[in-house]
Amino acid sequence: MVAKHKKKSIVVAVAGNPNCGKSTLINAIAGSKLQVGNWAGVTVEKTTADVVYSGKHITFVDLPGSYSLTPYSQEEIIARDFLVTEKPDVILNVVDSTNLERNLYLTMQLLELDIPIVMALNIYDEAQKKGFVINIPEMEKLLGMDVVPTVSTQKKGIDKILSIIADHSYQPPKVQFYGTDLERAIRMVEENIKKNDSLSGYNSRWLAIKFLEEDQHVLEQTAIVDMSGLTAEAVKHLAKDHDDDILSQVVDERYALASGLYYGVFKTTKKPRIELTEKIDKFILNKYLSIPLFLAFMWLVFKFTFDVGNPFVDWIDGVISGPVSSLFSFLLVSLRAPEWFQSLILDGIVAGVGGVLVFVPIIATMMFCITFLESSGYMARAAFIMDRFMHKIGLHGKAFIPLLLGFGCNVPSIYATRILETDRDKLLTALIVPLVSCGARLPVYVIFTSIFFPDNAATVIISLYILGIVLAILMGMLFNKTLFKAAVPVFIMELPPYRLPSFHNLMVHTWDKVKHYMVKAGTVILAASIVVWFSLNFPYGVEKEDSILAKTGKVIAPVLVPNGFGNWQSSASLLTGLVAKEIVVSTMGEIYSGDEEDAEVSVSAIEQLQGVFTSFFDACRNVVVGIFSNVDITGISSVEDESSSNLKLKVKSSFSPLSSYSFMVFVLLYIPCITVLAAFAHEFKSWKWTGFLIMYLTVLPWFVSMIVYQGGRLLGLG
Amino acid sequence: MFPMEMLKVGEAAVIEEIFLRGNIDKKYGSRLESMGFRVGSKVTVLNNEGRGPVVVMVGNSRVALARGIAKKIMIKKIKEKA
Repeated sequence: MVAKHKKKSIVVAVAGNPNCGKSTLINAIAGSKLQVGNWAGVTVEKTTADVVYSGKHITFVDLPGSYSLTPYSQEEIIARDFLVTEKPDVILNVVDSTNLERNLYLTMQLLELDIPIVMALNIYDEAQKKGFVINIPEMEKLLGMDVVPTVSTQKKGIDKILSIIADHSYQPPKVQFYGTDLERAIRMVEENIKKNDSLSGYNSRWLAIKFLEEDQHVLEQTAIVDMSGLTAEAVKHLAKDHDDDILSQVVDERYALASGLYYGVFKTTKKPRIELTEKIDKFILNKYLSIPLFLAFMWLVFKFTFDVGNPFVDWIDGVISGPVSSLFSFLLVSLRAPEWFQSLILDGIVAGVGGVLVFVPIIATMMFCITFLESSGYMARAAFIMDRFMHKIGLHGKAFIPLLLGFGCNVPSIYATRILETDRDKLLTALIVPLVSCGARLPVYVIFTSIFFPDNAATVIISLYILGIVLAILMGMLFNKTLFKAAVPVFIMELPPYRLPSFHNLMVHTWDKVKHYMVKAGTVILAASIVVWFSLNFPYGVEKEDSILAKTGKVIAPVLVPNGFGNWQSSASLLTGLVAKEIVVSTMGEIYSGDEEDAEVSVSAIEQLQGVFTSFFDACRNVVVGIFSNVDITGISSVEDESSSNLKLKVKSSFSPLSSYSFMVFVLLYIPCITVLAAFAHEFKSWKWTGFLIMYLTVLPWFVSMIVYQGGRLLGLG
Repeated sequence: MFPMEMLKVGEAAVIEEIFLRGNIDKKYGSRLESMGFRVGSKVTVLNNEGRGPVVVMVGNSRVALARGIAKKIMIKKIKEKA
């Protein structure tokens, strides 16, 4: 699939258990050449990398981490299908040296595929520290493959692996002996398979084993409805001597080989000590401490996100509304561009796209924190801690991970529901994910709180996040009681050892996610900005009141009167916010821009450029001040520049504090952006459920924000 | 022989039987098997609060298991040499 068009490329499938350090190893091999995409037809992330080593092109395809090739999860099916149907030239089997026996079980299954294997004994340094001694030459002899110790964080062993692959010096796979009885049965089935032409594309030994295991997925793929003709004889032969089912016999053989190998090559010189992970877990998973610690970590994530992100938000805002705007305006004037075109570029595109790009620092720091939680090992603990709690909404702890990721962006959360085992769990989780406030909603809160709640910005924003979480729980409980009454899901999850993620690795993954956000700003939001500009300025020259967008807004506005924001500006912004929630802000920027009366302050280009640098250092200083200052998300309203204060004045005249809060509640809860809807529809392939999602996310926000507004009025708040 | 769920923190045991044979349970059974839970495997309980999931060490990995699953894994306690 990947490199078929490049004939000379050696295709290497990278396979291994979850948490074996596979992605770090690939990072070390490929560096910046990693490409992240999706597996065809499904939404599981697919990482590939094209590397040139001593003149050879090598394409690495990272398979999803799997414990076995017996399909249990979507990930394992993807891994297996790639190996079976794409037939890579070689498998790089990444093995966790500190957990050899279990990892070798997967190796045994990989050997059945009849593809050459090179083994990376990863995390070798930790194994040595623990006093493990692995007899590598013996292992190479028994397995018939090259075994290379690697430490991916220090790039050890990478060269050796690359040179083995580039030189084609890897050995042919060594068929493992599964005991006399089973081997005879396998041979019987193989003979039948060879007689069947439709099965010639498969490795006959592998297929024979799968048939004996009665692997449903393989039966579907080969379109063999009744395989009794293929296996009857062999099954009879096996059943005569064993009372166990055949699947268990095969598994037993693999395990016997794996553990035989393990005991043959493995020695430990030190007594096992209580590990650091256990010591940390004594606190992290403690009955009384776990929840307070969890909340403290979440608070730290938010504090870090805002304290580090905000000063740079102000800086980028200054750069865009200052030098960037001036540059465009200068170019347009000197090119004698018509007035409407100037307006399109400046009020439409620069204001629209710029208004969204401004928030890159906050998105980046939040993504950084989430990546840190994931790769340090804490995310799995959070799932464990939340398990009991998640049971109340009919889910188990793992479902907490997509919800947590939702704070960054809802789109990967929808995809992350794949880690759950049943369709019911996936759907239920995905239905409540949009209630988790994503990064794109933040710009809206930031603008409104800085106008109406300058002294309590942090409290107000946190209250919105909490409202989202509370409603996610309530809706989860409701859906669980009404729509999804099926069986209680089961929680099985590995808790990886705590590891300090390398800064490089964190940056690679953060950049990946930030890039996604910026691409969105350059495509979807650029297009939306242009559309919004036209719908606001067409026919050109009329007052904004009479534009197409305003007219549409006016149609919807009456419905939102009970919610406190029945003006056309709000409904128009909400409407455009369907494309992406950040656009609510940029639309408001466009609606309220243009008729500025304040005199242009002319500053020379050089002074503006100097300003860029001095304000950057100011931003850095504010980060330090912010981190050491006591609490909250103050930075938000402290820096005011002329261009945004104009928007703020206008907004202030259209909202009251209460109606602005009710508006933010609506923004929090209403239909997520079309990207989330598309991901949802794609993931669940159901128009019925997508329709349901749209409907409930229209009704719920209307009611909740109406209750907020009317309740507030009754209490005399507005 | 008693269920793994009843082990206290720090106690070690050997798995004697895994009762995950039903149609739905089988899926979990094969997942557990590939994670190293097999008859004869040694497990050490790392976290057990009497409710919620149990964390056990199997091989060299820590696995959190739903209590319902831990109830279906029968074990024999072993004394660890000091």
